[in-house]
Amino acid sequence: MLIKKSYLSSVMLLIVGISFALGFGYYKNAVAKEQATATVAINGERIAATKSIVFDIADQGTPKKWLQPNQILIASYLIKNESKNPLDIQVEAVDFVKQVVLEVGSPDLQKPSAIYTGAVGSGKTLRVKVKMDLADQHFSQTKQQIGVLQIVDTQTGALLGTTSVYAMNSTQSLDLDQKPVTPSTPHEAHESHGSHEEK
Amino acid sequence: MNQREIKRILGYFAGLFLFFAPFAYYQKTLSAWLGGSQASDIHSFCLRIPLLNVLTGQSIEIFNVGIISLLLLVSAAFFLGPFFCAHLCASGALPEYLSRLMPKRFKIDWQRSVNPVPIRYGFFVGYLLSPFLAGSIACALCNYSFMERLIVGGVQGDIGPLGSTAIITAILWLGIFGVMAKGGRGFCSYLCPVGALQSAVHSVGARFGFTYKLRFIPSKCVNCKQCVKKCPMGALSHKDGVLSYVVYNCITCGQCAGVCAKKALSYGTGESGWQKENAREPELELVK
Repeated sequence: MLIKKSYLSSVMLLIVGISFALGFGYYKNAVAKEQATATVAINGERIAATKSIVFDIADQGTPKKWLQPNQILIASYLIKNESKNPLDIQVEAVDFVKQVVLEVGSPDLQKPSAIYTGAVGSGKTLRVKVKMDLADQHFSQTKQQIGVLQIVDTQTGALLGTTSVYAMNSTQSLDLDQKPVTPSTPHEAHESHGSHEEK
Repeated sequence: MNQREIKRILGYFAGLFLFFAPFAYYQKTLSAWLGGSQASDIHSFCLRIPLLNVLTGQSIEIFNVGIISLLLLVSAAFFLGPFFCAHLCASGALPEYLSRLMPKRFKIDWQRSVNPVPIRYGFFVGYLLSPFLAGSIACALCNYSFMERLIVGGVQGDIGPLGSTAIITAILWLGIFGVMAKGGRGFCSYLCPVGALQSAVHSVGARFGFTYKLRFIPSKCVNCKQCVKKCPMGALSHKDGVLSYVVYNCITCGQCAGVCAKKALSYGTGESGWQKENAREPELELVK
């Protein structure tokens, strides 16, 4: 009996190739929480409502836990201009203890800073990448605010939107002696805007 | 270092400045020529977007950086072979050159151990299917994306946050299939959909006399096997006194031709000279 041995091995390897690609797609979905996304719609008048962003540093893939657990990314912080006019805005990372970088568009020769200034056309959306460092900060099961992203109208100085960023470690038991990681505005003060919806 | 090698290195440096941010002069020039302000980084050059648009039946925008680049890539592969892989792709070149620093005894000959062709094309099929079944793996296992991060990190002084998938990509691309691999192009051989597409197109183009291809004159071959040792993709092998060639895994880098003292191998137009007994087609081999 003739067996197409090499043919069979080729088919098996083909299946391995397909399975690896699909398996990696599922893995990518499984570790999607490593990166956050948030959208804030601004209208140029009142402070826009937006959800807070909460990072659980325990909810990361193993490679990231091993190599870079304290570097986190908001892959898409989308600012949508719902007003009828273009808006000149400034996006600013406020109260973060460590370095924060706001990146818009393709990377440039200059390293971006914690402040971005630009215009958003009417009906257009600006995508900002926010890169943060949480090194030397300790988190427990209770989420702690690590900073705020603010959107300000550069012409009037009016606050157009804010997004609070929190971090926690769901595997770390609560340490009552632990102090807040940032000297920022207390959580309750931000709640007083009445516009935040926790995730 | 011979002239051919110097040209290759210069080509890869050109590719680095042409396609990768923060430079990306190719995308910036093309984007300006098209009158738009498209993103100017490696993602706008991505194979996935125009292919997905075709597969999903979405409106196909002809005049954008992605579609024009895909057409150029396919045309070049048809007439010249995988020209981009062989002369411009800095992400393929980096692990190849890094692997030369590693002593041979520590390196794995992946292509000889596991036939790369079915995995390469299986991965290509899975890559195209993944958006419909498992969510897109694009960017998740992309060595182009990681290469850009390295360049931007080098320029700006900070590589930024890496996801788990990016870390795995780096381990595979630069480590297991890079520095640890004979030839350093294990990632290209098994996991690069851009290379797979070009080699597939080249396998068709190479059948015509007017296209460029790797040519072989069997009567000049003295079985020195230098070409087999030099090939970073494992496209050449030698068994029972016969030199075999797999076009589906060849990037036409020409290193084999450069090392062939008898000029049995060359890159040019005309008949390829590869006979059926030279062209390895393992799936047709019958075993009792």
